[in-house]
Amino acid sequence: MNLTVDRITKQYKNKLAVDRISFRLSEGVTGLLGANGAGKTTLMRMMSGILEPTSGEIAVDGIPVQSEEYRALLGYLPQDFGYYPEFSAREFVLYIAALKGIEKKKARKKTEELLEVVGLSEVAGKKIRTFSGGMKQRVGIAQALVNDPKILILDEPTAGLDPKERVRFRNLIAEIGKDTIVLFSTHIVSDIEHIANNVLMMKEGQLIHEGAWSEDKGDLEKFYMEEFE
Amino acid sequence: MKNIGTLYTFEIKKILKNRLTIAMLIVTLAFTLIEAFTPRLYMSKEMTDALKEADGRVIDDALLNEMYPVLIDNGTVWTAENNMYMNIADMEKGILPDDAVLSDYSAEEMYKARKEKTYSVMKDDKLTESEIAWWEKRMSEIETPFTYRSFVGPLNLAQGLSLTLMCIMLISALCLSTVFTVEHRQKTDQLVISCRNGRRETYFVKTAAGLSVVTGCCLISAALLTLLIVLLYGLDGLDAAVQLELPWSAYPFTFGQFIAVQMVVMIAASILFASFAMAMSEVLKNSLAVTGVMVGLFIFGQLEIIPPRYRLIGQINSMLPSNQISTWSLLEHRLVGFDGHFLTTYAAAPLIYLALAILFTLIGRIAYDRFQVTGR
Repeated sequence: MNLTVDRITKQYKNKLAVDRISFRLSEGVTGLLGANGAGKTTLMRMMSGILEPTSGEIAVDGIPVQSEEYRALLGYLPQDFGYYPEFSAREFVLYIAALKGIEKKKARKKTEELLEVVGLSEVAGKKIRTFSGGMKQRVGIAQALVNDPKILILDEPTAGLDPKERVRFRNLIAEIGKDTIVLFSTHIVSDIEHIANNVLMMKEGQLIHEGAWSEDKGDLEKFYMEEFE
Repeated sequence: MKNIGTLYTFEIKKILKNRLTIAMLIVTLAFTLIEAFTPRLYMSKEMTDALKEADGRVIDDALLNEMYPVLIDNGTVWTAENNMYMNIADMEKGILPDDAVLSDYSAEEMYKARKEKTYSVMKDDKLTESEIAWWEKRMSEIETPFTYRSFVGPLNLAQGLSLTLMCIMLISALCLSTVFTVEHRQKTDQLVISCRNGRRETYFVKTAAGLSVVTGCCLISAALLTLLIVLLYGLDGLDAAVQLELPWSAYPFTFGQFIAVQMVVMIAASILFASFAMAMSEVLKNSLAVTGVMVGLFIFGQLEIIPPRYRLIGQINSMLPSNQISTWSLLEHRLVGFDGHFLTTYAAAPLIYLALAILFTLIGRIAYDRFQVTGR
């Protein structure tokens, strides 16, 4: 499976948020690094079909991003994602499963499985409004995975997680990345340096690095810091 | 689409779990109880029972001559002893000129004056000759002389439906205007629209859930009001002619038929309110603005500021739900005509409401489909 981003641009009045970016992703974890305002979130929103590009095309194996077929393959965790405070964690994931068109019985099974994976099975019946920031983020991760996505877009998914949860999450993503296209944005280089087989780096709406990062290229964090100084 | 039922259940749950919805349901219940019990405060059970004493009697010279000695020129004081004539005297006063002495009129003169008054009202409302001819046929179905029936229960029910409609409007304005905006405010919109069925299907499922809640509330509150009215006053008089309350009306309706018509119009109005609130909140992305517009329109509709000479505006105003669900709507004789056929407002209003509801839903759909997640 190949996810192709072809000369994608997003312009807001006088500002170019994303400037003619092209790349191709296949199964595996791709880390997306960039400072605040680099255009990472805008790019990920366009790749999730919730923001229309000014120009350019995004498709997976020829299936355009605007189609229902593309969305059926997608799992998305937005940065600062919202939730329904009156819903329990279980209800929330089941609701997203219904939105994704997953059959009821299968959705129930998958929801329980994922709540176990993210460590929320004991509080699955509690209202999300009673959860800590890290717990809410784990609900977000569970909802993104409920349809066994083939494309997984995670916008700063480790924000709010404690170090232990962060490691657990990294391992989970590494596992999922074996047969899924995972795009993972972060500020924290250590989140991706050991699991990403591909790294994208954005600065002022442009792609300044694309490709695998190997040790012979030096320290990724050092490179990143130099670029964003 | 798989799981449409599950999604629909979740959307219903989201609306019903909203604290504003719970508050509005309590307000509706309180208003229904007040509406049902208030008439009892104005008229004791003895007085109400007295109204039934003339049940089944034809309102002719014999009954009028029996009544006249009871009346006092400066205003009759109604007691349990004379209350059996109250509705008859009120009807006659409504027909005759303000300065008329009722006892000067025979039954025949009263019915003649009634007919003249009806034509006079129709002319004031700028009805065309063909409309008047249409009404003449309907009026020939009204039997005169009228047969008196006590109609306390049906009248209280018909009048109570106005308050039910206001509650339904408030539920739509306050609770349904947030169905879409809450997704933007809580930032759940980005999750919803990135899902496979997050666009078209979800819009229609959300709309269907909102419509179900409002029409459900409408039916339940109308049923509750009916039950309370039956228990408190009974439903005797469902077969009474509406002219006993509004003698100039040209509608050949009994109270039972009138209430049935009002229920149909009210259900159509609740569909209109719900679709307007949901669609406009998605277009404006602002639930408060929609609430303001709806409450403003409702209040505007109840102001009598349009002179009858502006027929079209006046007719549109009279077709607003707040004016349609009212006993006064029985005096609305302006017809809606097309292709040589005429419809009364009771027939046209539900059709117009449903057509507008479809239009609003489609407008909302376009706004929902075009929505993009930007900023934040």
